[in-house]
Formats: sequence, structure tokens, C-alpha cells
Amino acid sequence: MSKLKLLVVDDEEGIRFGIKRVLMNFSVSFPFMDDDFTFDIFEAETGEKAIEIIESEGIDIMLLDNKLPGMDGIEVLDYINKKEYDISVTMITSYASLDLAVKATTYGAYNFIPKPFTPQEIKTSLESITKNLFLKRMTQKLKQEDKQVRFQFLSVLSHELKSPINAIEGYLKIIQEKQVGEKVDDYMLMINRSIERLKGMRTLILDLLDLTKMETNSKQRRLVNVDLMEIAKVVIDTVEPLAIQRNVKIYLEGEDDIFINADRNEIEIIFNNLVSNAVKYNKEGGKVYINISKAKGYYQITVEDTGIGISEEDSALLFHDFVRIRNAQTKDTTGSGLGLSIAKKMVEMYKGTIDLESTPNVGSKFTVKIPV
Amino acid sequence: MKTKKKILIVDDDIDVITIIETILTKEGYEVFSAMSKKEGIEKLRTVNPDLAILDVMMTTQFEGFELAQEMLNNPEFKDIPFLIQSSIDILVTSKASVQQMAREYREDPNFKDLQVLLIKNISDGTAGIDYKADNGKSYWFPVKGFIRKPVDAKKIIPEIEKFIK
Repeated sequence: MSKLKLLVVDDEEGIRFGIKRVLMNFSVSFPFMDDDFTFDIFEAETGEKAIEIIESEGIDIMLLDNKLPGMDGIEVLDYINKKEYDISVTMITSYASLDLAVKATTYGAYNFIPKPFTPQEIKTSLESITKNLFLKRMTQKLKQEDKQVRFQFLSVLSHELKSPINAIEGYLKIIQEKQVGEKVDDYMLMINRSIERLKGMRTLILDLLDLTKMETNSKQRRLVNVDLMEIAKVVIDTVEPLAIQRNVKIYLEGEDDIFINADRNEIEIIFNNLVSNAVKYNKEGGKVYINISKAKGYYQITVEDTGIGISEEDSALLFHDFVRIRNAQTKDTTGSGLGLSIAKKMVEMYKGTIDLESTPNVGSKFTVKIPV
Repeated sequence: MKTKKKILIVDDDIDVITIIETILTKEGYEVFSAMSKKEGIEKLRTVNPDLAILDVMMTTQFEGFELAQEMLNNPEFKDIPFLIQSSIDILVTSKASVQQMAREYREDPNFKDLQVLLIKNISDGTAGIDYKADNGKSYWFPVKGFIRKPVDAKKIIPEIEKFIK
């Protein structure tokens, strides 16, 4: 049960009393609200008193008469506007004319009830104003949260971009100052690491582009019949050099002629992220098994490795942006921290799911299911 | 022979560790490293270093700051000086109290929304950090000094020599 502060501004005591009685046990509920709303009712007989209450109490909704002894309703409305108070106002007046109604709404009044009114009219009006207020506040809250998420994303992103620059610049300065000797060979480790970090940065930038295209929907999606086995072979080809370097063997198994209606590029990105991870986080001499099959109602792709695995605690975070599991086993591996988050978003574009089973030091198995 | 002075680096970036380690080993220090707050605390205990160098953003955003505060509050570690490594601009002041200065910056519209303020007094070298954590709370703690990223020998050695003679 949530409470809204309602202020009734009218110079006639009878009206204030009437409204109070009508709303005493009244509550507003809509299926989309988590909570029912009831009202704490405040009264003012003049515009000046109304402003005093607004400033001391923080009012949500106001029922406002226009004809008041001192400052009139429109002036109160004008004051609220200037101060940018977030109050939903309904005008009540016996001098209901089109002219005043227009004037009140241009000053930000939400709606208008002519006097005399029935209890039902007051209730209906409050229902509508409460719904409006709820939706308005909900939207504001979501916008704020969205801003927050964006800000966090940018702050992590700038850190992820600065880290490799700092590392490479640090190495270059050591080389420039010839800190460990005269021979190039003395610096080979630093040169190799710098190249590795540059590669990581390139991946990050490419991943970021994928992510941006996906989020803005600006990417031209071309849905065609895509052969899953063929894509898998192409991806294995791309990852092969890394696999040879790490002495990891990749096995592909599956039924031929499994076609999916999809954007070829997106399916390639999903495969590529999963298979390259399976190689990167594998052990020297490890294995990667890719399996493609069609079951009842969905396509299934599994990518299984014999690598370092992921603890249960870490796997909960794994699909979030910029999450990289850092430990002694992953410290030399570079990555953007975006690959799996992108893969997940892409799978979800096909209303599919991606799941993980993993045992530390034994291996991980990613299962993608995409409905037919 | 004089025993070597021990320095602990806490950073989640293996390359930053390698870089600092290379520079400091050449200078004759014995270098230890840790990649998280947790590992950092373990190493503080086992190594008992003469100085620690802490990175800020590790697995969590302010992990290095949390470690610093833990060092200040734990009697076991409170005498180990530490330097904070960061790529954020350092605000300088000549006001007597850096904490007072931090408060003034927080009232300035240009600075009040920043998550982290690094403040250093240029005349007496006192320094401190004011930051807003994810839980919305603000923290202040004093530090010995800062090392601005990217790290190089010219920057890091004089800073360390202030605390290890």
C-alpha cells in the first residue's frame, strides 16, 4: 500500500469536507501497479496556504479551485510551474469555461472537473490522475536507471581502453631507456606482450562495434538459409592458428543439412566467440568438441572444452558486459570481456538460450538452443 | 650485506606488474605481487613489505581503495606505507588540510559529481582520496602519494625513495 499526498484547495469548507469524505476509504489500483494507492488528505482555503503546505509537505496531487480569495488557482499553478514542483493538478471550479480550461492546461493542469460534481466524478478523476502520475514517475525512474547503466558501461569501457595503453607505454619506456640491457632479445617478452595487448584492443574495438550495431539496430540484418555445419567449419578455420599455437585440437560433429533462417554474420559471431574462448581458456594439448544437432523444435549447438573451467560463483557473472574472470590461470589471456555478452544478446535475438555447465580444472560446456 | 627492501604490487594487470617489477628489481628492490584485494592481504601478511603499490580498479571498481582502507584500519598493516596507482588527474592544493580542500571541491559544481577526487598538497606532500562508492556513501582516507599511469622509472623511483631510505 502506497500513500500519495493530496491537497484540496477550496475556499468553501463544504467542498473540502465533501471531497475528504468521498476519498476517506478510497484506493486506486491497476493491474500493472505493484501497489494500491491511498491518499493522505491536506486542506487549504487559500492559494497562499496551499503554497505553504506544498513547500512543507511535498504534495503529489492537488485538486485546485480557481476562484480563491487572494491569489487565484491559475496563479498557484503558475507558481508550481516556476518552482518545477512535480505535482499533478486537477482544476475544480464552478466557473467552468473553455477559456479557463485551456488556460489551466497550458499552465500544466492535468484535467478539469466542473462544479457541482458527484462523488463518482471525483473518484474517476483521481483514478486517472493517479495512473498518469504512476506512469510518469515510472518512466523517470527507468530513464534514470538507463543513464546509470550507460555511465557504468562507459566508465568500465574507458578503463578497459586505458589499461592496454598504459601497459604498452610502460613497456616502450623500459625499452627506450634500455632498462635491462642493450640487446633486442632482452626485451622480447615485453615486445610480445605489447603485441598481445594491441590484439586485445583490436578485439575490444571490434566487439564494441558489434555491440553498438546490435543495440541501435542499425545493422542490416539479412535473413537467409544458413548452413550451421558450414559456418562451424569457417569459424574453425579462423581459430585454427591460435589452436595450433596452443596445441589444442578441435573436433566437429553433427548432422549435415541443418539450415537455419538467420543472419550469417550473427551466427558466425556466436560460433566464433564460443569456439575462440574454448581454445583460449583451454589447457596446453586440450580438446574442443563442437556438436550441431536438431532436436524437437530447436537447433542445438554445443561447444565443450577440456580447459580451466569456471567456478559456480564466477559463472553467474560470465555473460555480463566486461566481465572477465581474473585468476592465476587467466592472467596472461587477453580478452575484451564482451564476447560472451554479445553471444548471449545475439542468441536472444533468435529467442534462443545459452547455458553453461562447468567444472573447474575439467572443462566447460556451452549449449545454445535456438527455436526452429 | 644489507637486506633488500621489499615492495608489494597489487594490480590485476599482469603487464603492469611486469613493468614495475622490471624497474624496481633493477633498482635493487625485492618485488612481490598480488592480483586482488584478497591476495594482497595474504601477501601483506606473509611478505611484510616496506611499501605497497596499489591499483584501484581490479575485479571491482574500488578494490584498491578498499584494500587501502583495510591497511589503515588494521593494526597489523597500519605502518606499511602505500602509494595509489591511478590514471585520474590529481588535484593539487597548497591549503594546509587536504581533507578540507576535498570538501571545498565537493561544493564546486565542476567537481561535485566526480566519483573520485585525488588531492595532494604541493608544499608538504600530504595527500588523500575522497570517493563515492556504489552504495552511495562517501569515503575519505589519507594516502602517502600517487603514481600516475603509465608508469616509468623516472616517475616511480623518486616517489618510492621518499618512503624507503
